[in-house]
Amino acid sequence: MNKINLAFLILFFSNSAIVCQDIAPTTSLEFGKITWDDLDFTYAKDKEATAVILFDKGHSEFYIDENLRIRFKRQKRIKILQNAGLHYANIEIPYYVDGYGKTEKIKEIKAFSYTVSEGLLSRKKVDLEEVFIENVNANWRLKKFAIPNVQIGTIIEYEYTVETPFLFNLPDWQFQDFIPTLYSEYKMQSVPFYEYTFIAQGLTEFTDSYVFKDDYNIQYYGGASYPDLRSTYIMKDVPAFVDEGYITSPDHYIMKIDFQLSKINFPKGGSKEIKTTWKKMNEELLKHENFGKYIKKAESVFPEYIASHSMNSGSSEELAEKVINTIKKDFNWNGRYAKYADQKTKQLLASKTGNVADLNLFLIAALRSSGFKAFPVLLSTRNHGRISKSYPFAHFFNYVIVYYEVDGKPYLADATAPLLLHNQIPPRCLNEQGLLLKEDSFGWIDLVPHHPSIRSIYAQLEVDLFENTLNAKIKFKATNLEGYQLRKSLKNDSSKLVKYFNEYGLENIHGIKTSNFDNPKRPYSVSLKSSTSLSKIEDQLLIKPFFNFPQQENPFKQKERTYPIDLTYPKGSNFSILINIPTGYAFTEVPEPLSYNDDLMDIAYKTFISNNQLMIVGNYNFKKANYKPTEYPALQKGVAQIVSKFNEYIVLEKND
Amino acid sequence: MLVGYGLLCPYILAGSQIVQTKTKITIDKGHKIIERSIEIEITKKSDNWMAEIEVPFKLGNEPRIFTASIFDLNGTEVRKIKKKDITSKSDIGSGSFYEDEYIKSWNMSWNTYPYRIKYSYSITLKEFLYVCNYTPYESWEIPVDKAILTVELPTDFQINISTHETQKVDSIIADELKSYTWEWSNLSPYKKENYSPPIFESAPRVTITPLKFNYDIKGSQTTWEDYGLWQHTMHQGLDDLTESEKKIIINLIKGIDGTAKKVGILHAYMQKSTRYIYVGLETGGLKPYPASYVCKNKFGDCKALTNYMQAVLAYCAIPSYQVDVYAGKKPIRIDPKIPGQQFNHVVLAVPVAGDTLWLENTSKYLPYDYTGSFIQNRRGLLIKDSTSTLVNIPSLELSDVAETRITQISKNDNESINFKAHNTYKGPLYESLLYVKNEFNEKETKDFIGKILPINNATITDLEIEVSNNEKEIIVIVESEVRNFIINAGRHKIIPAMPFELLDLEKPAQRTRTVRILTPRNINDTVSIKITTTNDQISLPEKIDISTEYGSFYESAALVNDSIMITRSYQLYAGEYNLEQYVGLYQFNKTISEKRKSFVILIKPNEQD
Repeated sequence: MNKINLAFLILFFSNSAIVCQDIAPTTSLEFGKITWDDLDFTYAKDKEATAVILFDKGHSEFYIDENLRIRFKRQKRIKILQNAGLHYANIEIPYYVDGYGKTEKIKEIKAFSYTVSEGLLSRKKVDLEEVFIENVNANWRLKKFAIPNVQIGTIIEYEYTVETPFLFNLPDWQFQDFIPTLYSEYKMQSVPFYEYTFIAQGLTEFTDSYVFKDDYNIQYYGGASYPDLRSTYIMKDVPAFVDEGYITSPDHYIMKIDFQLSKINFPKGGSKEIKTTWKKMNEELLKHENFGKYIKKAESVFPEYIASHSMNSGSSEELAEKVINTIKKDFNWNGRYAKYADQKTKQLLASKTGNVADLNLFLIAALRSSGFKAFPVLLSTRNHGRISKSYPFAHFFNYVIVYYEVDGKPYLADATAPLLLHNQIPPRCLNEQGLLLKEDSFGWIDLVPHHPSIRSIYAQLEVDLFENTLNAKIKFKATNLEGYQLRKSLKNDSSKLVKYFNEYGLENIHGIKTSNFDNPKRPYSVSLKSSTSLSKIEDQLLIKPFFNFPQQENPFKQKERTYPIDLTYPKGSNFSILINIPTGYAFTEVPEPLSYNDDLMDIAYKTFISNNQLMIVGNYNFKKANYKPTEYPALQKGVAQIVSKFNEYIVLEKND
Repeated sequence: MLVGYGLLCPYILAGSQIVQTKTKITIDKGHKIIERSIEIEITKKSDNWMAEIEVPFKLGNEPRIFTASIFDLNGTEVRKIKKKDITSKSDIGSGSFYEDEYIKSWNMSWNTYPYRIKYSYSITLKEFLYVCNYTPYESWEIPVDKAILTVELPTDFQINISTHETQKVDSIIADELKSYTWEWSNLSPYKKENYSPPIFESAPRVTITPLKFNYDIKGSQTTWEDYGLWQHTMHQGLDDLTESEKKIIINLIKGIDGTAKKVGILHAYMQKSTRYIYVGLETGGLKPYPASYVCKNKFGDCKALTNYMQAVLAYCAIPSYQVDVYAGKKPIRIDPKIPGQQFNHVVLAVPVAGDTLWLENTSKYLPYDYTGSFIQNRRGLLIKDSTSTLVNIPSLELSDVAETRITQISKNDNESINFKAHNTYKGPLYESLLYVKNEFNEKETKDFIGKILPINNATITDLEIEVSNNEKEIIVIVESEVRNFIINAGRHKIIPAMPFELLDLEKPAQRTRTVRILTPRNINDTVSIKITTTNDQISLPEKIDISTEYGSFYESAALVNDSIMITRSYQLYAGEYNLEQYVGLYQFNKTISEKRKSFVILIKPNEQD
């Protein structure tokens, strides 16, 4: 009989610290055992808390049901503090169904409420007949139930067990929630056959953690014996996660640990490394049927495809553009993110519709077949959390894009975004770095563009004293991702455009014309005329030259900032306004110039008067996509200056 | 095999649209069989969303998909949807916890334009209250070239028919079957128009209800009395309060005199001890859970909570009546000609001393004696054994929706001002603020209040919210720092017109539908701006004073001692305005907006300073 020593890796990654304090000693941590201290418990530390998690305990263990499986038991107790926290009594437990007969199972659901009314404690139980199953999509289900008799002051608790055959998916654990957590504990019973590494996010150390090896409790599986080994991780008094706005997603920062299977040790000897290095992950993905092999297979269909789409002429740059735009035009994205293709090349050619991986892996094949170097880049979308480069976890990634080279220059592309320039990727992909996978190497590449995306407003303003209006001829341009966002949201629809420009204070919009909607190589441009009521007081005309196009309000109102400020991509605005002075009037008041430039942003504002015209030129640019919390005060001050300066008025006064 | 459309319809339509829909509804042996075939032409990639097909159904009534194919420009079938391409998932509405509603969906997009998709399916229903409530539109924004509806019924199957913008083209009555056919062509899409009644009211439609039906129990919808009687009968026995609940209830009203007071106490008890959760199973869409279910679980949907509240009142010998209503801020108006299920909500009417209390049972915060904007100013069906009747739920009047805002502004420094407000809100904002106070955290509350203050760029430093449910009002006392209130213009300073939200109306030439304003508006502002230097020259704007049949607006500014005093009032009357009246309403709104552009205060430094 083989005796196997357990190896267990404990690895940390962290970006913030927390203060830990002991839990009130009189509250019970045992499911089903409620003390009067629990019932009397109030939470003064956070007056905003709508509820508080008294404990949240998870326990993963392996068990044998023909094969090894994972059983995960969870017990959670919450005290409801405000009506706004009542929804914590509506429970949803997700579970996975692979569509090929394997499924996770949710078992042994128990849920109770404890409510004190008129001095009497009432305990109510969830009726299992009222546990419902929601089919979220082909692969995910929810078991749902509502805990009865819940009001302010009620304690709810529930437990359930998940049995899973998916040994890759050792349940992750989140120590933090949008309400405070007094006690969070994750226990894991290991077996020597499956080794996992884990990454901890948002915390530098656990309140408590330990590993217990019980040499007297010997387990047996597959002819091997091994001692019982249990690891425990505890966090106490974890504050509620507060979304400060302008963050990528809460999933980037919330305190949690993620697990990844790293090695399989076979009971009869021998072992298999699963994904211990990026290099191995690279190699395996490139051999994967629905990834690397998919690209190879797709390449074989291309000679015919290329011939039928006349994609074999022009300069290298033109050819790459043609290939990418042809795929964008020829195929439709079904809206699903994926890193693996979910249909064969032939099926994709037949259906013309596919997920992100179907389309982008196909595009790689198309580019390669046209003579380009092209490779996949794995990434995690903005709503999917961040990647830690120190740990090769496959589940970090949920999306694949295309890296290609033209005359040695690198570019990125995404076949799912037809309104975007061929060598750009959409904002959903702009999340730090992506993993470039090549046959002989791998590397990390920046996803966030350095080129700013700019909105420009050119306007010529005339005062019509007879109609009492300020007439404007306006040319509006949006470049890069700003152009993409507008193409996507306005859809070149005239009523949407009118509404959009109405929001900026323009009235009676007419003569609206757009250009380059279908040509993302050029800025999306809108020209229009407007006739806006004039502000007039006594003999003076008041003109707000930039209308409401500049930033109107400073969104950075809080005094301090904990998390980085994420603007998605560098962006800015340019203004160039020419005002014709009406006969009989003169400028009495013109804004002072302003010039400011540092590493974070630049601001410029100038006026020029000649003959009967006033020209105002201004711009402001946010030079970075991401600002550190330490840069927050400077950013806040800069935006305050923008709001103040770019919304100034011009005064015209009647000559005597 | 499907025949290519090129043979049937040898022309290319102008833009993406429904080429043809055929809908056949057959009543056979008490079952309703719906058979549909739909053909859509898609002319550009951005319209591919029209090729994402969804067929909703209820558990047990799974649709049979017969065909689903894509045809290219030449009418050649280029793809056939297979069984594995079709997925099912739950279709649980927002606000619902669980429903046994599902959707079958599949994607039929293609890559050469134009292309056509054609699919057909059937659904069989055992229980139904409508033969059809049909409109030829699949989606309001997609034009329809042709739509045909055929209804086949046994000759002895009695129905009620209501049509709108529709002419019957065919009607055949044979020995055992009667058949009706309607046809529409060249239907233009509808675009969104602000403050219009729901599009469904304007659209062509055919509504057919069976006079007799079996839905949980047998019923009739020949008259509103009949339909009410069916509901009344279905509710029998659902008032089964538990013994423990009865004890609590009796204790609550022990020694209390007056029906209204008792109702208030019992309603408050229900609000405190229950929560709203909608679970719709089988006939759960129409039949309430019994009172014992709410006693046990302390949750329920509007039907369950209303039924429970009715049972509680009945136990205390207080008669009350359930009132079906189409709730919401933009309700579909009840068609009185076709008795039946035209509602989405239920409240309780409690007659009290010559008046009626309209109890909303799903809100944890609205007081018992308040008729909220969610249900006011519309008709409802009062359920009362065999004498059910349509009733008018009272409207919120100007005095019920008054917002009185008193603002004091003083200068902090060169960059910011101090803004103090003492605002009293009634009506819809009273309702919203009750929710905000109880459900929002501090940041969310400040964000909400910041948006309703008559000023931009406010950073709220101090906030107090006082609720007066007796007065049906909520008082917000707020202090904030505001930047950019006074705007530079060289050496001059400008105070622009303070933000004021008016109606967002299209130009009359673009308007095709009437305006329906269900809830009036009544805002009264007093703003005092303290002046710090006495030497400045201050130019004040001219007074605005507009009075029309749609409402009135007044705004003036005056120097009073060391302050500029601004007085503003705005009334918008509730009403339904036709397209002719729309011009007047538009002009009223536009005039206010234009005049307010010049409602600007100009402060010039004294040249001698």
